[in-house]
Amino acid sequence: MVSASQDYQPDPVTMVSYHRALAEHTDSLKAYATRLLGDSIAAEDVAQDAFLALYRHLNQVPAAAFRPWLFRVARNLCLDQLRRRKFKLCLFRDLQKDDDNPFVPADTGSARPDQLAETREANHAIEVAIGELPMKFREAFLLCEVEGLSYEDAAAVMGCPVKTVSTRLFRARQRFTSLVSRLIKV
Amino acid sequence: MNCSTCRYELSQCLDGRLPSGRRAIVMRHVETCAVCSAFWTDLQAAQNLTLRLGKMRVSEGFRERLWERIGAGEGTPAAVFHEPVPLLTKFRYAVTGAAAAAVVLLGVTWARGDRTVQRDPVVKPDRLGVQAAADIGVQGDQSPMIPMMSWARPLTCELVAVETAKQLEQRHAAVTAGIRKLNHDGFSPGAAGSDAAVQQILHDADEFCGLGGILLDLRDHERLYFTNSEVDADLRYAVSLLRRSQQDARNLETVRSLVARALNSGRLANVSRTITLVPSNPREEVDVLMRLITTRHDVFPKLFIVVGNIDEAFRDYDLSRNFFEMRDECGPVLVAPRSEVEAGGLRILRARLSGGQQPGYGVQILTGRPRQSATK
Repeated sequence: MVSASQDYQPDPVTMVSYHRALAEHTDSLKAYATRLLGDSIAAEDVAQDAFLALYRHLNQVPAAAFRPWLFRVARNLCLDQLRRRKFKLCLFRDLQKDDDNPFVPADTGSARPDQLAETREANHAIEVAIGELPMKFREAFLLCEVEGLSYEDAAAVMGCPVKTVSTRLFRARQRFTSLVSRLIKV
Repeated sequence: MNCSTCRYELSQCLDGRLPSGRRAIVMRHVETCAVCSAFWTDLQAAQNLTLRLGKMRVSEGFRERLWERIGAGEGTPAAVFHEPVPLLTKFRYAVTGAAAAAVVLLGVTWARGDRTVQRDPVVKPDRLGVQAAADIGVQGDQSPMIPMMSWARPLTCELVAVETAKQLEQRHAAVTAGIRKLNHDGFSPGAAGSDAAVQQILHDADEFCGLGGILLDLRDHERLYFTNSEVDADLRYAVSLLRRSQQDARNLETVRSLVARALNSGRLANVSRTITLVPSNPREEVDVLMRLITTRHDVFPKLFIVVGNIDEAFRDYDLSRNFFEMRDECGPVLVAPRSEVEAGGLRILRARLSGGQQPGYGVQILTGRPRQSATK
């Protein structure tokens, strides 16, 4: 194994791009996987596997395509996990839900405790609303709305036409808006 | 502008994907439509909410663990091929492969037309041939419903041709024997025996004509051909003469002038040996048979006895070898070749049935004898 690792040496320029991708996309990849799987530990494994897969294919993937490529791999890994999960008993599922929830509010520097609690509650409601979207709509919503991918990149990740992404995103937004209407009115 | 179109385009507008001209049109609509205006406001507010979503960070040792895995060779293409595959996964692949192969096989079997399960199991009681079965003791009205007969082999042109040729030869033998006897004994006008002999010859000749017509139909539909072209010619000649005889007076003169001339050829005594069948697909077979049953509805019952409904007894006693499934406009029905029934080829089944759980069940059909004598 070690000798095999020594044989495989990506070129230095590509390695620089790889390091940059690691710095920029790790968190968003984990967030995306977490929202698809509903499990942050498994999501971290998925993110790591996606970067490992990218390392395997460094010489084949252009640096500009790293981001959609990583999301595509992560998506496939998540779908695999979800498919496998259908056949397994999910023991202790409720226990891990809150314990492993490492969300950090966007800006907590000067917030008061009551504001923090309010933000945490709003975040939770948004996460629940996202979790309630059907898988196809959720994918489009997470990629375009949350992660900010272009329609073209999202289409590459989801393996569907750009028009489909646009339609799914519209439907997802419609549902999401009605689900978080309480928060919007506040 | 349509409100639903407007809303869809508002979603694109939010991502800056709408051309400026189109955006202006959409925004004009939003200004005039309260519902779309509210939707637009909600859409923007919802987007602001998602932008406020908290960040999610990977755990501290994420990068270290990744480099460890890469350093251990896990990330190399060569290592991919050496990753151990769990036994359960191997088993799953094997099962999936076998299932896929089974599905493909079933699909191919279905596509080849080997579909013996019929959709319409209903058989009308007044269908073709029930009278024929009643002639030999089968009650046509016993139960008009026929179950799915997936176990029975379908009736094919080949079976029809073989059965027709057999019966044709029988009629030929009967007519030639009758004429020979008539010549030998001499004809006595007015005598009951002589008249009956003439009528019997004419009756057999009529049946020969009908059976010959079926063979020629199959020949014309290219379901069979005669290896000896002279047999083909003789049969056509015989059938045309016998059709003329049916128009003429039913007397000795007709027998001598037409029937005897028609069946003079000895080749007609061995028609079955000169028949070669042409393979065809099941759909064509059904079409030809349907046409045959419709156009030759007077002759068909002479070839096959329509059995009607005799439930699962056939399946239980493994009688599928002797019965075939025929389809006509009323749906599927079981038929048995008359020659086999009359020759007693099915008689052995009588004993099995009689000794089984349902003694006497279907005996009339199997022996072809009158019901009164056969029913126990």
